[in-house]
Amino acid sequence: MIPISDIILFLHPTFGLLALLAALWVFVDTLNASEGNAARIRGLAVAVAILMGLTWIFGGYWYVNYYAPEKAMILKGPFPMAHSFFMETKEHLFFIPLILAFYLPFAVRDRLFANRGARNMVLAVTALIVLFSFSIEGAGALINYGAKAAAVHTGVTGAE
Amino acid sequence: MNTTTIYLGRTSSALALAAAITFIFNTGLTWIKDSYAPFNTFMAHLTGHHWITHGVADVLLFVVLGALFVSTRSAERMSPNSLVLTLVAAAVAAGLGLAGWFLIV
Repeated sequence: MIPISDIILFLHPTFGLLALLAALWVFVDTLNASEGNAARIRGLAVAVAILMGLTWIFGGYWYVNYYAPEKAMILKGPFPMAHSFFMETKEHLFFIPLILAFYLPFAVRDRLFANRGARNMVLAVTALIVLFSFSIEGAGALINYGAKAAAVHTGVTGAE
Repeated sequence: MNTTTIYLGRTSSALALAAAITFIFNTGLTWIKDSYAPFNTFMAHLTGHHWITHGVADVLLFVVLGALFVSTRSAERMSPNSLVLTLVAAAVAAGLGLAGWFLIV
């Protein structure tokens, strides 16, 4: 049986990745903006905001309630940078794509198919969301590695 | 694709500028709370965890500044390209400011 804390842990990068993919979809649709895909772009922009919001809630809940023991273990392990650099940066960097995601539904309102200024803004916002989210997903993988390496280092059975 | 118009609506302009300022605020707040423990403790007291307070402060600032810029129409004085550049520059600078900080401290 998977503990609820692990389910929450798995949900937060899942929603993050879905938000990233939705933002990438908005980016590509905006490159090909027309009256035909305007409604889809607006819907996807709302999806990006909701998915990033869910990432915040699930990631934040896990971080606030379950991360402390893992942090202590990482700091005693062979790769303390997993916390001191990657987690510390990730937890604060996340607010940038979060704000961008909340902004996106408003940025796509300005008739993108007939407005180069609005298209440039949406392309910039979605590109930033994708790039920051990729960095954060990568940092998450390295934090996971730091915890695993620490568990092996301290001889936790099954961690190897 | 019709490219005849170049503008950003009032809300879009206002929120772009609000977001850019929020990014810089986010990095500044991180530097302050990370270098001055009593402030970090104060933030933790407000909501139970410094990170919750930090996130709420960011979102509140974004909303309040956005509403302010919508009502004053101050962001509309900037061209769309300037706003795009401001937003991207702020995001990149704020991101590098965070990564650099945790790399050296």
